[in-house]
Amino acid sequence: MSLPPLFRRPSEKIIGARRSALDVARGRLVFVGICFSLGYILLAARTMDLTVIQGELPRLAQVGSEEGDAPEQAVAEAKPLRGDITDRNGVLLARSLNTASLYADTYYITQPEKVAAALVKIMPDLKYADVLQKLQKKTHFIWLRRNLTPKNQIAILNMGQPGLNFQDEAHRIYPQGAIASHIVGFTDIDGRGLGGVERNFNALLETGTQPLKLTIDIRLQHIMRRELNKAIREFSGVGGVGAIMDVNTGEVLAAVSEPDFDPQSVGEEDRPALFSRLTQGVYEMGSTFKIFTAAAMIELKNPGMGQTFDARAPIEIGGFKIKDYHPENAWITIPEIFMVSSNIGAARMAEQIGTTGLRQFFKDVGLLDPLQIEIQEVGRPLVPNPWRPISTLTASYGHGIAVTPLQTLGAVSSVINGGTLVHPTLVMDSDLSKKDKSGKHVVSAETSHRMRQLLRLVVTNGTGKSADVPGFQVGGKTGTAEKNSGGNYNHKSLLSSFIGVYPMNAPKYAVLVMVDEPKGTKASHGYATGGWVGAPPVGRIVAAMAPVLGIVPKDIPHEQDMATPLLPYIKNGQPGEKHLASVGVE
Amino acid sequence: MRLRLSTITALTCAGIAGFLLFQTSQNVQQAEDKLRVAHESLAKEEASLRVLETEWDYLNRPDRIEDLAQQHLKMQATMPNALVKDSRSITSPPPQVEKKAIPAVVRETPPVATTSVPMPPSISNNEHKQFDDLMNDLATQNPAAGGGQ
Repeated sequence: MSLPPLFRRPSEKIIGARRSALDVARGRLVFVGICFSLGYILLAARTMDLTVIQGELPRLAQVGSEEGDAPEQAVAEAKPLRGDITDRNGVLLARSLNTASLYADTYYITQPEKVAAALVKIMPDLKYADVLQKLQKKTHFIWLRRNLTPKNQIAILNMGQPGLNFQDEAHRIYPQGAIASHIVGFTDIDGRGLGGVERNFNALLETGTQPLKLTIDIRLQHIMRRELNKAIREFSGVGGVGAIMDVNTGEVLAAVSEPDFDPQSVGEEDRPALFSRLTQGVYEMGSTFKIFTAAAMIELKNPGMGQTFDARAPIEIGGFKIKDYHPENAWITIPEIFMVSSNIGAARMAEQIGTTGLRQFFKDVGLLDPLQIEIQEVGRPLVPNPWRPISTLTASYGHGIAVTPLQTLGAVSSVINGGTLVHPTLVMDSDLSKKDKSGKHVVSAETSHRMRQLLRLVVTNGTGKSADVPGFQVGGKTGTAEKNSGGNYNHKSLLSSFIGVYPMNAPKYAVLVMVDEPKGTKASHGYATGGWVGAPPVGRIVAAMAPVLGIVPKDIPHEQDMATPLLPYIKNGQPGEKHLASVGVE
Repeated sequence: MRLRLSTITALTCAGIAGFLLFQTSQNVQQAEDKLRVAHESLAKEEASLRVLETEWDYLNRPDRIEDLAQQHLKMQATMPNALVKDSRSITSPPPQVEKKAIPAVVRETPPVATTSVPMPPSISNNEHKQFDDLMNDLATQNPAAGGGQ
C-alpha cells in the first residue's frame, strides 16, 4: 500500500543507521505533534462546551421560554414541610407553607436610618427604634421579620437595598382559626408543636410524610361552637364546653372549650384561654353521674323498675345533708329518681350498691383514671381519698368526685352503646389512636337498654324536655352542680350541663353541653339549671346535625317510644299500674 | 516516517469515540438540566397548589359561609323535617289541567282579514322618537281594527 504524498519522505535519500535514527526522531515528533493537536482540540471543545453549549444556549432558550424564571426561584428542598392536620373529611386544620423571612447583612447598609424608616412604613407594626438598632449592628445576619406576606416582600424588594435579604421558611397556617384550637394546638415560630395534637404528634408531623387525619368534623365543630357560645352569652357564663361523640367508636366529632384562642398568633394574653376545660378541667359533674349510679344499680342489683326508694326526707350523714332541688317527699322508683333527678334517690341507690361496687363501676367506665386520649392536656380526676361511706353517697349524684367532661361523655357512651367500653379518640388512624380495642363490657346489653329507656324518659317527661327533637328520639340527663370554692359549695356558682344521646332505639351520637357559672335570666325565670341552660342547645345541635350528616327523622308511634314502657312506674304516667314488681327488659 | 494503517484506524476510532462520548455527555447534561427545570417547575406548582388549597379551606370556613348565606341568600338552614329517606316518597305536585283543545275544524279555517290589519309602529321607524311618543302611538291603535266593519 502506498502512502499519500504528504507522508512521503523527502526526496533526499539517506540510507543505513542514519536513516533509521532520523525515522525514529520524525516519528516521535509526529506523535508529539498529534498529541498536542488532540490536546488543543479537547481544550477548544471544552471551551466551546462551557461558553456556548452550557452557557449561552440555555440562557437563550430560557429567554424564549415562558417558564424562564423557574431556576432562579428554586424551592428549597432542605427540610420537609411539617405535615398537614385535617378533619375527618380532609378539610385543612393546619398546614405549613413556605414564606419569605427578612434578614439584614448590615455591612451592605449604608444609611440605616433611611432603611429603617422605609421598613417601618411597609410594616407599621415594627418599631423604628428596634429596626434601627438592629441595622446599626455590624453583622452579616440578623432577623428583621419572619414570615412576610408576599405583598410586603415585593415592597421590600422594590426598595432595592442590597443589605436586605430573604430566606425561605415554613410558616404554620391554621385556615379554620380558633374553631378547633384546643384540639389542633399550635406551634412556635420554629414549627415545634406546643399544644394539642401538634405537640402530641410533633415527631410524626415533622417527618411531613402524611397528613394527620382527625376524627373532628369541622361542620359539626362549628355547630357545636355556635350553639355553645349562644348559651354562654344567653346565661352570661364565664365559659363552657361542648362535645359530640360517636358512642360506638369513641370518635370525637366535635370538641369545643370556651374561651378559645387563635392558634395563628398565641400571645401571653391568651394564656388563660389555652386551658382546655373539656380535657384539662376536672369538675364535679353533678346529676349526670346518676347515669352511672343507675347503671351500676341495674347491673349489680337487678332491681325492678317498680322498686321504690325512700326520698321522703333529706339524708343527714356526718353533719352533711343530702337534699333535693325539688323534693318529692315520697317513696320513688328508679324512673322517678332519674326523671326528677333526685339526689336522695341516687344516694339511696348508692347505699344498696355499696362503696366497693360503686367505686369499681366508676373505675370500669374509666372515671377514676386520667383520660386516655391523643393530646397531653389532660386533667387527673380528683377522687376521694380516703373514700368514706359519705363519698359513696355524694359521688352517686356527682359531688365529691371531679372528672373531665370528655371523660364523662366517654363513660356515658360506654353505658349506652350496648355496654362496650369506648375511649374518646381524636385521630382516625387506628395505629396512632388510643382507642380502646379490648371490647371490654362494662354493662350488659340488657342494662344498656334499660338505661336508654331511662334517658329517654328524662327528655319525654323529665328535666330535659327542651332537648327533644321530633323524629330523633333524643334521650339525656341534666346536670347542675354547685361549684366548690374553699371547701364550701356556692349555690350561685353552678356548672349546668346536659348530656344527650340519640337516637335512643339505636344510639349513635352523644352530645354534651356544659356552661360554667351561668346566671338565670328573665326567660328562664331566674333558673340556670341544666334543663334550662344545657338541654336547649343540645336540641338545637341535634336538629342542625341531621341535615349535615343526612340523618332522616323517623316518626315513631307513642307506644314504640323508648320511654313508654317506663310510664307505668312514674306518677301521672300512662296508663295504669305503678310500682309494679320487677319487669324484664322490653 | 511511515504511519501504519492500524495506527490511523486507532486514532480515528479514538477520535470518533471521543466525539461520541462528548456528545453523549452533552446530551446527558442537557437532559439533566431539563429534568432539574421540570422538577423546579413541579415544586413551584405544588407550592402554589398548597397555597390555593389552604386559601380554599380558609374561604370555606363554616362560620364565614354561614354569615355570607345570611347576608346574601334568602335561604334558611335545612330543617330535619325537610329530609326524606327516599326521593320517591316526595309527592309530586298535581298535574296541570290541560287547556281545552281547539276543535280541529277551527284550526283548519283560520280567520281571513277583510280589511288591512294595522301594524304597530315599527321601532326602526321611530328610532328618533321618545319613548313616551312610542307608547302613545301604541295606545291610539284601534284594537278592533282587525275585525270586519
